[in-house]
Amino acid sequence: MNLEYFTEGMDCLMYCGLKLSPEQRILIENSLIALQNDNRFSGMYLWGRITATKNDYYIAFGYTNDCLKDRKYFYSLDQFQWQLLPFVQSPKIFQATTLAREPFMGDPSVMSYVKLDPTFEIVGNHVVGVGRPEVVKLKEEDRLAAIVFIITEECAICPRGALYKMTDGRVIPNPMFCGLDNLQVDNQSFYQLYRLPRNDLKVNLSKRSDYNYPIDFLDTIDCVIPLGQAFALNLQRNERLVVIKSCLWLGMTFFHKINSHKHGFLYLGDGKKNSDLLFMY
Amino acid sequence: MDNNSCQNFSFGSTSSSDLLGLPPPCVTKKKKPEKIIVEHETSPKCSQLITSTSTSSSTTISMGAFDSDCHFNKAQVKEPPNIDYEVNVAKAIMQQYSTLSGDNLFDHLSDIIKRVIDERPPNVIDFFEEFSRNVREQKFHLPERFPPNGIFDEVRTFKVAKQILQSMQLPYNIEGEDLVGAEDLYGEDGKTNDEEELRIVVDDSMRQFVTFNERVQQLQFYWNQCGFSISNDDIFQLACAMNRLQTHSSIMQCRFWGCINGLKASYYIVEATLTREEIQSRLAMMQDEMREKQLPIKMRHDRQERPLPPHIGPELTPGIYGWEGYAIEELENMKPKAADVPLVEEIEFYDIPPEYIGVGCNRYSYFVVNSLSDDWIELPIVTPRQVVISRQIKKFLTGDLEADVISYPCFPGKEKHYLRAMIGRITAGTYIAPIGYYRRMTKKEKRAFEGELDEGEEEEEEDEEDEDLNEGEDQIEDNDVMLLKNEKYEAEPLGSLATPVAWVHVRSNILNQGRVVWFNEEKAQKEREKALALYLKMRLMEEMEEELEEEEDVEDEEEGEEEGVIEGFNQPETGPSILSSCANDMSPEIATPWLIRQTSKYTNQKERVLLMQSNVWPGAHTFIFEKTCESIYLGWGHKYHARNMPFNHLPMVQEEYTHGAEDFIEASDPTVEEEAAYREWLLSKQRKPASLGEDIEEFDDEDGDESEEHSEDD
Repeated sequence: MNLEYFTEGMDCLMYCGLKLSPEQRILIENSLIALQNDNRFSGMYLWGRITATKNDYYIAFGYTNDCLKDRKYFYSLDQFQWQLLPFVQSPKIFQATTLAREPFMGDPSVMSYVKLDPTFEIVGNHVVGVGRPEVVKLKEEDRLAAIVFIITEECAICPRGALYKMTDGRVIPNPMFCGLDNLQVDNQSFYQLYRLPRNDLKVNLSKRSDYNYPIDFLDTIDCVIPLGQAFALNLQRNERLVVIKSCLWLGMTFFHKINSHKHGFLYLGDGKKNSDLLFMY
Repeated sequence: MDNNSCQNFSFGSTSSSDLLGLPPPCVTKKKKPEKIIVEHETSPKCSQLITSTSTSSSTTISMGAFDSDCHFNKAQVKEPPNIDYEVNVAKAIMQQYSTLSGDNLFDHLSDIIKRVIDERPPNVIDFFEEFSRNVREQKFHLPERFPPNGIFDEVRTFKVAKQILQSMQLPYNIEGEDLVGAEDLYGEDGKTNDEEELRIVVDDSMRQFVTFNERVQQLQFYWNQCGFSISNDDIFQLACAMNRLQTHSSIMQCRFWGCINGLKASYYIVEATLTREEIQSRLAMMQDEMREKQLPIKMRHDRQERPLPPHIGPELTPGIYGWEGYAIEELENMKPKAADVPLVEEIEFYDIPPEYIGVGCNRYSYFVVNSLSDDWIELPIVTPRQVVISRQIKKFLTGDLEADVISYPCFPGKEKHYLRAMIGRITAGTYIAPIGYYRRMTKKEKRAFEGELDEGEEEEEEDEEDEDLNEGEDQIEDNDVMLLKNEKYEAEPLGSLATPVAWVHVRSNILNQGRVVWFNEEKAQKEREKALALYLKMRLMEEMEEELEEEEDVEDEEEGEEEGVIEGFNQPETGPSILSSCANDMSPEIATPWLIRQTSKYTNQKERVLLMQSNVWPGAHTFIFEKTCESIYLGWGHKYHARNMPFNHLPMVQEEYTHGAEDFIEASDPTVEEEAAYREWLLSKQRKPASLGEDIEEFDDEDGDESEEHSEDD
């Protein structure tokens, strides 16, 4: 949720459950402006909230040069003091995060132990050895960082054309972007994932006949597996507003106003992946 | 002349600083233009081309072109280093029309320059490609001079806007010509007013049972405080929609239940209690239907003897084409060698009956709508089976009430039934209030609620009697009650409420059976058997016309059976009762079933709202502020699962016909030699009888066939 149209954006996320109370909104908006100023970010966004048992985590991110590569994530428990989220690299932690059963506690320093799934190896000739399930020690701060990263990677959305790749490879919001029009809004191929593209550039370009190098380098959401089931697209408010909800991470909501550059996503949820998705259609 | 044109350029373009650098070179080469000869041939063309370009770019440039046109005749002499000539050649190159789009670079560049100067976008150089693409794209848009009504596509929002206006039932014709229509309309208005008044009169006796807060806009204030932040427009529409529902004559009270997201559309849900008359009229219908359903199949009136399938004749035996030569009578008398065709067997199956309308799970009716301008649709009643199955599955709602629910185990019903079951379960699980906020009805109120007219003085005595009588039943019926707001409830400080201990459930728990009040299925089964036995005997007797002696026997038997029933009385299933504490809530999936949040932590101590969030049903919230306590649900309608839902596995394929190892005996295929030997053997067998007696020609039908076939093979 871009800080520039914070309140308006909040309103546009129709009926997506509990959002922010007035006090939280004021605290967050103003403290994020301060944060942006301190860090000299050229863009500042509220990412969302992860519900925890004691205290909820509020997540925000900002960028200076490149809005995909050098995003910096912050979290806050009290809605006005923001701490940098650690950068997680270890695959073990990601693995443990996806497997963790317990809800978040609300204390970043708390340690939990997560039992990974047992590993299977083919030892010799048709002999399968079962590895003892590994127990990983997981700090909640790391878990938070990992879950934020995973959710952003999998279902953060922007409309096509909102991000622009410059000739030097930087990606910045497109100031020429003036929104999708009537014919484009309800088509999932006009929405892109807000992440560094994973598909090959050629693959992404070849999906469209009117491709455009600086715009179509991102992956579109209609190619997210399970195809056609990962997102639910709705038109709201006299069909002037698009709301896309992720079915994989319930709580991730994206909005875009037709014919305006306003768009944004917000995650309000408990950080649980919907692993039953394939059975739910 | 060239000088002139240059000057025109620089004057025409008001704000370009770059162009200021241009005039000096032009000035230095003042005299050269006069010597141009070849230029004439190019420049008039150029000028024509230029004037024919798009409106946006031609203004400044065409002026220069016109100038050159005017001075056309003067220029005569040509000299090799001629700037004008070079410029024109360059121009001509740029103005070459594309064979694909019919566009040319010169126009495009001048468009871009004009746009940049007019609009002055920041950092154009960084987005030059995008900017240029935009400019080109806009060229294909309809120019402004095109009549706007020539092509007018209906705006997407128009349909919705019309719907919304219609739903508000505005008096369109009031200013219209026909006064009759207007009068009619007033007349109708008068009627509706009367009806409303009538309704209120009816309500007066029920006024005390109105426990719902019907005012959406009032609640909106609290919702906003809590952070639901539904926009004011939506709330107003919601209020209008609910008003439409509320003025309906069969509805006593209604409240906004919440919103369940669907894939294509979400559902706005309103909870309502029906008026007593409505309930009674529906109840009568429902009771009949239920009675019929609980009857043993053989006793049902609508039961039809299914005719046996027509003869299983030769068409079912193999080789129909070989049978033309036989008469039909003969064929009918033949018996196929195959096993009989299995007939359908009726299996008696009884569902646990749903609770009647107005009690238990069906105490409240639910109305849903996809968009607030539509008409409300009532959801059907919920059956125990639907509740039970809905616990085993997890589906996305699509937004279409008639959509099929494809699941295992098979859900009995459409999406509306599933939605209704989910609503019932969520309501039962998440509706809470502080201790003492609600109270049970007194006996008197209960009777008033059930519509019995009390007569002042006798009440108390009756009450006492009732208490005596009902004590036994109370234990079981305990849960299925409607609670009333406790007038004596004192607002408690939020600090003392910020713990689940201070909260109680205010809606009846749904048992595992899928009902609020436990239904003794075993007993019902026995009763059915008894009824069936009796029924069969009655029919026998009718047929035989025997005397009454046996009936007495029957009665004796019945009594015996009843005793048996009492002995085999199985323990009724129990769950947490209504008004049980939230501190006792248990969930195997999550340790803390309730989250407690306050809307402001740091300031505004006096106007804080306390919010209870359910973890078991993410999306269910209850807030309390002083004496206002309301619950709302905004979510997907899914129960919480720590990792994933333990779905039932599909059974093995064709489980009902199990195969043992001995059913399939493996054997190796016969070799060619073996087959040949077998054929030999067959032939020799056929030859023997033929050679024994040629007079034996009356073979069995099949044998005859076989022999014919074989002879053909040979």
